[in-house]
Amino acid sequence: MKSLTLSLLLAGLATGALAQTVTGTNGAEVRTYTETGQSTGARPAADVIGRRVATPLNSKGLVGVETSSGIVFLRGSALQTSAPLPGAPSGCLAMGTQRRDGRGTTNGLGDC
Amino acid sequence: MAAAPIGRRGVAGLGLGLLLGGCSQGMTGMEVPAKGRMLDVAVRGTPAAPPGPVDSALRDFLLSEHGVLEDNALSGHCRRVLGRLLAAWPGTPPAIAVWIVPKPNFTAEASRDGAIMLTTGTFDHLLRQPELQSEDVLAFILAHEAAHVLLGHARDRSGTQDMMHRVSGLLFVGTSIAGRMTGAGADAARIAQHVLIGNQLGMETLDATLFPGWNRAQEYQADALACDLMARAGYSLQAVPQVIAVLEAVEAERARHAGAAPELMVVNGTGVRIQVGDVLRHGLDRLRESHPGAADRKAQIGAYIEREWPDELVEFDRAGFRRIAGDRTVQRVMSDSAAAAQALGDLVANRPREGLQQLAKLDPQGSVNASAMVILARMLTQGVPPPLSHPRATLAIHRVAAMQAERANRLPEALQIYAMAQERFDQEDLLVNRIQLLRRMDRKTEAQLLALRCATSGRTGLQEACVAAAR
Repeated sequence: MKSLTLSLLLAGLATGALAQTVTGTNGAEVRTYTETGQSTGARPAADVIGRRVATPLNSKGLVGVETSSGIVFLRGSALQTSAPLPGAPSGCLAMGTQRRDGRGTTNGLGDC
Repeated sequence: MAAAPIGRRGVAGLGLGLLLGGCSQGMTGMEVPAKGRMLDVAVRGTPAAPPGPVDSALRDFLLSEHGVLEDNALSGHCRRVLGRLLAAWPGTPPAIAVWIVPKPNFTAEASRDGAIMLTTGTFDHLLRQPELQSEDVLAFILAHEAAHVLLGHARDRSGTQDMMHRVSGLLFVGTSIAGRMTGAGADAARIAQHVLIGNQLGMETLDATLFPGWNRAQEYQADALACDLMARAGYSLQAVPQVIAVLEAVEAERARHAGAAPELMVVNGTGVRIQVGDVLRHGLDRLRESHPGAADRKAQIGAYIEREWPDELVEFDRAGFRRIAGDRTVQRVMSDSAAAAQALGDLVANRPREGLQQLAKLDPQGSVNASAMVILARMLTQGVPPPLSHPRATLAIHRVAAMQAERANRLPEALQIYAMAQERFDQEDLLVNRIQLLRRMDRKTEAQLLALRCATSGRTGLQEACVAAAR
């Protein structure tokens, strides 16, 4: 079980390599935010299409996209990407449920 | 059925459950507006009929040998989330029951009478994927199914029936051959194999039959209404693309493994092996290919969120998920479900001793121990009497009870059980078993009458099977 858990974790980390690019947007323009969710206005879709995803989804569902003027934060729902958006890295292990004692299957639900 | 871990096949269940599951025709004239929210359209439309009585609402879920769990910690948490969602419905929402099915697949669906079921496999998948560990993800799964109920999609399941008719030929071929293989002296493991292989087809059928009724419009309607409910309830809409992204992965995986149609029967030196499940799955894969993909769906609902909820920005409720996942009683439900599924798998694989070991792990006071799945396993291994009058008794329990009675040469009792099951689960398929039994009891006139009834069913596969049984 532990090896399965670790492999799942590693698989999760692999998806977090941020190889995704923005392939489209769900609107002619996209709303932009600071990393903490403060609105900073909107930008034309062309500014982000083809650009690299620079940060994983954060706790507010915002993802950072690299643009010519730096990283802008957009809502995940605004974007179409070349691969699913990765979740934020965390100290969490995947929590399997196959064993009654739970040993080796959970990190105690720390900062998941 | 073997307790497959959540993997390729388990995740594929998500496709069946969320992408495909739960409804058919639904309301007409209830399209997602080009401007404005689905919720406003839905509340102005014809109100969904109230859910049916509990027994009726559960019938669809009792076709699977897994049955449903009595009230437990996980269903309690789901009810709380659903309650928060339904509180966002203007006016008085219908009472929608949530049932937990101890099944390893990642599936959720709405029954035709307005109940929602969520599998333990669904929750297990969330437990294994840290990025999906928010109450918002669970809320979207429940909101999507609730939306089907609120929009009246789930009530008209004629598409379900059509699909069942289409696959019934396979079912009867499989049943007939399995019957010949097991014979009168079949032991418990053989009965388990017979019933559960047949029932696995039934289970796949149940999942599958949810498919033909789905169409792009209904999915979009349910997704849009789910978003409205979530946003009004304070859940993050950014969980929606996360869940649909899993469906995208399912589709990609499926496309990679698409191959030639498997053979229904494989004849080898030791006998005949039936692969009805494989054949049916292949057919379903072909059906799915003709329907809109998850990528389209994600783009469509993404555009809806951007248009109707442009300022929604809510923190993922990870603490809410932690409360559920950290609940020791929930963990017990999950581990017991896994053990019970493994026990059934052991029985089908003719490993009764291992099956009993799995059953011994169960919490004797837990809801899983009292579930139909465990009762079925105990019927097969420990001679527990079938609780046929129990409102949550499954079709598989009835089938095993009838076969055991038949085996003990209690033919009138077996006949009665088949008749009861046919009525209770609306399974015309059982006419074949009744005809076979009547022939065995030399009650040919009654067998002919049932065959006549079969002939009027209009179902080619059933008609052929009845004719064969009546000969």
